[in-house]
Amino acid sequence: MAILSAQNISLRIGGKYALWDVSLEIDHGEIVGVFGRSDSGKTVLARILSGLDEPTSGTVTFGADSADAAKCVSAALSIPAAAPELTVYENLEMFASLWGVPRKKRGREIAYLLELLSLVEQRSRKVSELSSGARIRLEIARALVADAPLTVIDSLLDSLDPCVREKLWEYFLTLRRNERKSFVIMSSSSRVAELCGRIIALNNGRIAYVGRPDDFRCIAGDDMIVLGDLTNSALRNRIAERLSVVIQEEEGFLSFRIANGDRVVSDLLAEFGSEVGCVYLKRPTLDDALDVLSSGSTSITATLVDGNR
Amino acid sequence: MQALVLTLWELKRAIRNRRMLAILLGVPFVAALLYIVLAASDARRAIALSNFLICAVLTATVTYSRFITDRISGFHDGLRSTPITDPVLTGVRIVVGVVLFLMQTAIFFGTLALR
Repeated sequence: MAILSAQNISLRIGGKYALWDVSLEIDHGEIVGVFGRSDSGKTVLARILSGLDEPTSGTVTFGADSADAAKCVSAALSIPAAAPELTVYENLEMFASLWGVPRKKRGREIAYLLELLSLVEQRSRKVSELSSGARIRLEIARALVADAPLTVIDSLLDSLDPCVREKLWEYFLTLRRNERKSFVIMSSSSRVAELCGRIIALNNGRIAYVGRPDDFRCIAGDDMIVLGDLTNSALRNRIAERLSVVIQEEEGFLSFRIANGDRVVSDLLAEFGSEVGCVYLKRPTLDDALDVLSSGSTSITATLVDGNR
Repeated sequence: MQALVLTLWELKRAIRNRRMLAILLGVPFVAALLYIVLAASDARRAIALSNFLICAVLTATVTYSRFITDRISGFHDGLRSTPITDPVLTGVRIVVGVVLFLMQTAIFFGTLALR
């Protein structure tokens, strides 16, 4: 049974649809990335999934029935939602008690989250005195202290320090493994999206892709391999014949596109290693794939959406 | 239970806002002093009634402006994302407003009692 199921949700703001016909399911113990540029509808979708806004049409169901989102979903919002007059610790204490976290567990959880998100030194400072980075970390802690089955995080991981993000991600994986908790991570950063088990690419308020990050990357085309410092001028023809690829040559460098570039590089080095001075492998990124979708390749979008429903 | 918890936290927030508290509690204090100074005058009744009305309007204004500020700052959304329902949120704000008004009344009568 999915923990959350959204069917054909749309949201109209003014005369424009910020979200159109979005359907998705989140299972227990899943980390899903919602990946898209600015204004693609990520925040709108986050607010609907966390029950803050009602969709213009469509339904969102939580758990076995249409249970209230507020009991199942905690949200870390793009605009941090802590009380400015209270301290970091007081905010976490307040939200933990509002979520009904038992007193004994509360202290332990808060202490752990303060350590995890590098907020220990700021625990007694008022939120109004915090830097923007600290407020973002507090917002994430505020959502995690709720101990909800599903946590939605809206575009906050993008601006975290890499070391904090890494520690936080390990924590997400632990919660997923041990407690079957689910996370929906909204992000415009491919580095964050690549960490998720499944991604949903949003483009102009519509779902353009649902699936694994590796498969999404393939939309932008094959890997590119560049070979340089060649000792043998006939190498081009030999590689073209060997791999059945079209090779381009520019300023002494050979380049070509091929799938599974990492495996091909290993084979090339094994066969021609002594004749090649340097090898460069460029894999298409999730950003490249998103660019392809955003450039208006309607046939690709239609094929992918149809193929993944 | 969560309504009570939130009410206590909201009161703590209100008390931490020193400037707002100074105005809210300063008005009945000044009114009480005027009441004492004009002990022999017919204006005492008007002062008492004006104090009551001004305190009520002040408290209502402060309660509403805090609601607007919380909405702009995002704190209101943070509360809405918890299991607390919207009617309970509204009720808590009203209760906090009533408590602030009672504090103003206590300051007024407490100041009078000190003379």
